[in-house]
Parts: sequence; structure tokens; C-alpha cells
Amino acid sequence: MSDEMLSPTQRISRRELMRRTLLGGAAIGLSPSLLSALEGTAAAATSAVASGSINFFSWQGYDLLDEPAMKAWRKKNGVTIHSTYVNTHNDITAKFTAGGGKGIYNLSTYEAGYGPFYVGLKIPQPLDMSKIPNFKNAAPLFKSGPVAKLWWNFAGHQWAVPFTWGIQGINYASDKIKAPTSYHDLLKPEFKKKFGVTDDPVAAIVIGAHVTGVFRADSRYTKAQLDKIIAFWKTLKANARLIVPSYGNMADLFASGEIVAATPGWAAVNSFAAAKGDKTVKHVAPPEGSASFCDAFFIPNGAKNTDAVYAYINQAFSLEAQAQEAENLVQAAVAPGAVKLMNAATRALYPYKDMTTVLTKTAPLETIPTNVPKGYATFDDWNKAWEKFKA
Amino acid sequence: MVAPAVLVIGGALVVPALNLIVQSFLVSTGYGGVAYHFTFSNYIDAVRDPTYQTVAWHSFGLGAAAALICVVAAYPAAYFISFKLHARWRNLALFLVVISLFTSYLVRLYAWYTILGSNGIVNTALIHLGIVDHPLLFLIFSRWAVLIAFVNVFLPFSVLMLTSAMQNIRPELLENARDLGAAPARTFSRVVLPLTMAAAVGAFVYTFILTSGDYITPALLGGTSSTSLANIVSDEFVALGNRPGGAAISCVMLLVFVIVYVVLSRLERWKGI
Repeated sequence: MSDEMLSPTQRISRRELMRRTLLGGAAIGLSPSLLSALEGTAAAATSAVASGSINFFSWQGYDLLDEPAMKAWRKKNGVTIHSTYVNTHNDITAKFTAGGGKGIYNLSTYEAGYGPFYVGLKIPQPLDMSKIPNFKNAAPLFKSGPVAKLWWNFAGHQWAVPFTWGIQGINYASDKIKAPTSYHDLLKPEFKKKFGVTDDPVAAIVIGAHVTGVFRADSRYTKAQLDKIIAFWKTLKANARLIVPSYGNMADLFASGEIVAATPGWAAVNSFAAAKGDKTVKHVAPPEGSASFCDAFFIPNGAKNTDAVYAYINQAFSLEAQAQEAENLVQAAVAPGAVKLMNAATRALYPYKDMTTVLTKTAPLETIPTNVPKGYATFDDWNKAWEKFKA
Repeated sequence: MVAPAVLVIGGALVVPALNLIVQSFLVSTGYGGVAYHFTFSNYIDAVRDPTYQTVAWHSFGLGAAAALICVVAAYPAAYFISFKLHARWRNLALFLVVISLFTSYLVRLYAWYTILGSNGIVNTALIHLGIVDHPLLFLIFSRWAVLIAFVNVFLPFSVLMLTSAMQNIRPELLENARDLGAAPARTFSRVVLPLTMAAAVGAFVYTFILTSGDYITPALLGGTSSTSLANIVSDEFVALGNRPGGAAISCVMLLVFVIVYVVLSRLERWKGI
């Protein structure tokens, strides 16, 4: 299925959202622990339940600072967000295991496939869903059924609540080339040294699995299959200009004319590039298949002031907030009821009518291998294979 | 009196280094977990893994090349500033050398896009002059670009170190050499070079260590060869949660740096050509 993405609106261009930037997203914001120490009764609480500080650790933008519905809620309830942003998803893993994040940060996110892995590492705490009544607005796919039971609701608990999703295919400069119809298009001579391969091993391996015909929703590949996937990326790398270190850097490369395509891609890069003056970048999901992601809020073990966090998460699932998140993040909402509140350009970005088909068949949510049987590649094997690929 | 300094150096340098060394001999039990069983296996893996060998070769090779170019290029600049420039202009010259350091490291790396990029100054000039028909793509996103960026960043440090050393050379020594019939080249090789060898070794080792362990420059400018040892170490700690493995690679790098320093410090006794 081809999934053309329109260019972002002017309103999106005025904010800088640098997902996975190498340095740009590093350590913006004040130290939550220091602020917690200095904070006395400065925050005037209008609600006895939800007030005080939320210490957020995840992707820039996921703290929902720019959404008017969230801003108004924070002001009304006297809630202050202190954010620390990550460069890669592995930063979240590291922070909440050996990085001293437990007890300091009380709100974070994980991408669907990381759910069982994080639960195994005792990172998230079980959620009290009675405190997130607005989650009822989410589509059934995200609340119950086989997909939900894989990533967010398993072992008798709800560990996280998915609030946004997206698709990863190929970004391309629409003024220079036509939309690629296959990942193999990038192997053609006309693309030699003109495209980038993004340093996103999870998305790359999932896409590679689609291309090589071995895709499995549980990401359990034999080592021979993993070798085949990496071999496909090696042929792409031989024709590529560079390995793109981050999606933010990808936008710089499009804007400076260094590349005409990049994969794995991300629709939000359209917006990043537009903010840098290049409004021609588009995103397409080739028919072979794409990687899709779904990020969910979780509350880390040892978190403090969880009442404020629960209330904040609940507000993020209001229809108004979901519509605004879709516009600001250039990602899809999980609440079908929010679609009517979106502007036309935002509404057209994602296939809301076919959401379930897309996320279960055409582009099932990307995941990492966990508890794999002997003979199958582990997540360590994935990372080692990717290191070898880049070397 | 020395207690505060000992505390700072001990706390900020010695204790973390010792922790790293201890971690390198432990066993990884999964993401973030370690078992306190002594093993050499992390070192064996670090040295024998073909991927690590390839990356190490590239990282140390680039580092050595950058360090050598910096030291060689710094000598004429330092000599000019120290012996040819009037004292009135010396501080201005040093300021001009240092001024590039006022800019953020990342900004300076991105600036190379505008200089070496497909639509950058160099390619635009070459096309306008009719020297090439299309942009030279190898100028950027290649090991050449990484090397150029390293030299651009670290050359000022080499100039400063050598200038500092040359300013301790009494001008009378150079005059005496000339009076005794030594050509400028011989004066340089028999007087200036031996007296500045310690600074040259320092500049070389400083540049070699920082460039070999650099994370960002290879990632932004290295093209399809963007992995450095620092990336490998980072992956071990962050992506794999394998602290003993990451620590072992770090300790091997440290050992290489120490060996390089020990070997080169013998040059300080060199009396010249």
C-alpha cells in the first residue's frame, strides 16, 4: 500500500521538533533532581490531586509542551514539566537501568516493541487505569485484543498507554525525484551516492525483513535470516552516500541538497525540513512493507507525584489534545474521535480509516526480539549485526 | 593544602578510572547486569572481534594522521609567531589562532557542509571555473572530510603548545647557530626541533587521543564509514547494556594511548638530525 504524505502546514513550521537529533536533543531542560530540591511551594496548586512537577525523560515533543489543550491544563492545575530529552530509544533503557533515572523521572515513553523487554528489566510500574478514564477514546486496537496484549497489557497488568503512532518508509525530495515505489529503487544507478541509510537498527531490520520476505510480527528471525536482512542493507549501503546519524540530521541533509532520499524514513522529517526551508520533502511507504511504531506513556518504578502524572496522561487522551498532538508531532492519533477535530492537512497524513489494517497487516508495529528460543537472533545479535554493518 | 586537589583528582579521575578497570573484568548477565566473577573474556572479545579490529584500525589510523598533520602544520605557524612576528603582533596572532575555538564544536562541524558539500563553496567554485562538471562527492561524507575536520579543530591546540615551547627558546641560540654557519633548515633541526620535542609529543598525543576517541565527527562527516571506537563503546553501554564489554574496549584504548605516549616520549631525548 502506498501512503503519500502531504507537506506539513505552516503552523507546524514554527516549532523545532528534533527527534533523535545527535546533540540538539541532548540535555535540554533543567535537572529535575535539582529543581525538585529547590522547589518549595512555588507551584500554586489549584487541584489537590494534580499539581507539582512532572519530570519527563523521552523524545522532545512527547512532553506535549506546545499543545494548547495541555498548556491550558498545566496552567489550571499548577503542573510544571521538567524535560530531559533522549537521542535514541536506548537512552531510555540505559537511564532507567544503570543511569539513575528511577525515583527522579516520573513520566517516560516506550515504543511498542520494547514493552516486554522493559517489563523484564522492571522499568515501568503497573498502571491504575481508573486514573486514565480518557483512554476509552483510543481505538479498540490499542486497548484490547492481540496487539494490545503483546505490548501494553500483559502478565495481568497495563504497563503503558499508547498515545501516538507513525510509519517508517522512505523520505524523498519530491522536487528532484518521483516517489520511490520500492526500496530496490534505491539500488538503481541514478540513486548512486544520492541517498542516506538512517542509523535506526530496529526500523531497518523490520523493513529489511519485509523486503527479504521473512517478516514476522514477533521479530523472531534465525541468524541466517538476520544475515540475509543485513546483506540487503549492505547492498543499499554500497550505493548510499552516507549513514544518517539521526532524523534531525536527515532534515539538514535534505535542506542542503546532499541527499534526495533516505530510509528508514519518518513523516515528521517532512516538517523538520520545511522548518529549514525545504518544503518538498515527502514520505512514502513502499508496497513491500514498512516499519510502524507506536509510542506509549509509562510511569517508571519509583516515580513520585504520580497523581499529577496520571492526570497529565489522562488529559493527553482528550480528543482535543489528541488532535493537537497529531498536528504538532506529525504523527497519528490513537483516538479516532480526534480526527474530526484535525485540520484537513493533518487528517490526510495518516490512514485513519484503515488504521487497524495498516498496523496489523500492511505495516505491523515494529518490535525487538525478547525471550527468543535457541537458534533465533537476540536483540544483542541485532545490535552487533548493525555495528558490523556500519563498520 | 593539597587535600582539596587530591579529593578532586581522586574523585573525578582516579575513582572512575578504577571503576572502569574493575568493570572490565566482570561478567555481563544481561542488560545492565553484572556478576562479580573475574574473567579476561571481555578483553579477548575486544581484541579478537573482527568488527572491533576494523573500527579500531580506522579510528587509530585517522587519529594518527590527524595528529601528525596538526603537528607538522603547526610548526611553521608557531615558528612564525615566535621568531618572525614583532612582539606587538604576537598576541593578536595568538588570538586569531584561538578565536576558532570560541565557536561550538558542533557548529564548526556543520560548517563543513557549506564548504565541502555538493552545493558548498568548493564545489560551486570548481564548477564555475569549469574544472569539474559535477560536484565532487568525496569531499564530504568520507574519511577525508573527517580528517579535514579533525585538523581544523585541533590545529589551534598544536600551534598554541608549540608556540609556548618556542617562546622559551632564547633567540641567541638561533643567532649562534647562524653565526656558526648553520643553514635555516639545520638550525631548525638541530636547535628548534629538539628544544620543542616535548611540546610536539604533547601536541601529537593530545590530538591523537581526542581524535581516536571522537564520536561526533565520524558520525556527521564520515559517510558510510561513520563508526568509530567511541560509537562501539557507546553501543556496548547504552544499546547492549554490556558494561564489562564497553569497559574492556575503553581500557584497551587507554592502553594504546599509554603505549603511544611512552614510545613518543623517548623522542624528547632526541638531539636532532
